[in-house]
Amino acid sequence: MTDAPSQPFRPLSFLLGWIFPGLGHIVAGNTRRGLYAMAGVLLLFVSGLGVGGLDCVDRTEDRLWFIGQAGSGPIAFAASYANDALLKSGSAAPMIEMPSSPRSPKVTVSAFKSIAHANDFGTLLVFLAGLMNICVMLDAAVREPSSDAPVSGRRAGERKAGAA
Amino acid sequence: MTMLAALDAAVPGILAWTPFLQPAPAVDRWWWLLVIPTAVGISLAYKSTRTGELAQLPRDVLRMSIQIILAMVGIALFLYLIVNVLVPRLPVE
Repeated sequence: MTDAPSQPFRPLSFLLGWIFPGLGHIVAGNTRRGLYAMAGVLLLFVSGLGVGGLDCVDRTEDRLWFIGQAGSGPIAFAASYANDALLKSGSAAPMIEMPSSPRSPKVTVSAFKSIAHANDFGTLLVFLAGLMNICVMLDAAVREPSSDAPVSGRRAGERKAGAA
Repeated sequence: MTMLAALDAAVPGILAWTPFLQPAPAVDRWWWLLVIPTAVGISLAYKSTRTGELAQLPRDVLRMSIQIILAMVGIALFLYLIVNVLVPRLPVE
């Protein structure tokens, strides 16, 4: 429990933080903090796409994962759209037939489809980017504008005690 | 497999790799290294919201990253001991 003063919830900062990671802080005047948050979320997001490729963001085949990934904002939707437009359409790589039993219908997938560890870690990293961005958005919504002071937690108590 | 051997195995695939379209080459050999960007990314995003003085951010991020990595290594060792040491010693019947 902390005795830090509660801050009003600012929906605009919350929304801006969803539109692009860290933007809620930056617009509120907490520019450096926003840039650091942006770097953290984008590191996870770009690492995920780098490891798993575009196939690890898929709002139709991996819907449950995508719910968390969507916390990153429009960049997650853009990646999913790019997956549809480049990989699933076959424009970036040829479509190959998946092995299947004789009675089941033939299934074709992109030759760039990620599998196994690459898909697992790519999906997880982008998912973590979404979850961490939700934390960043919540912080942006309750943080005092143009202030680097923490709004809650142990450090807030330390800071308050030091100021007294 | 050592880190150098894992990277060496990945080099031929890197030459034909299209980043962001294709999955990274030979991830099956070096997937465990991904705990590093995962820990750093989580720490950077989290500490950017929790650190009071931003001058302390690099130190806080480094400390939290090391804590996460050590915790993951500890869990891995614990599970290794259970699966490869404890379980084989259990009586079959």
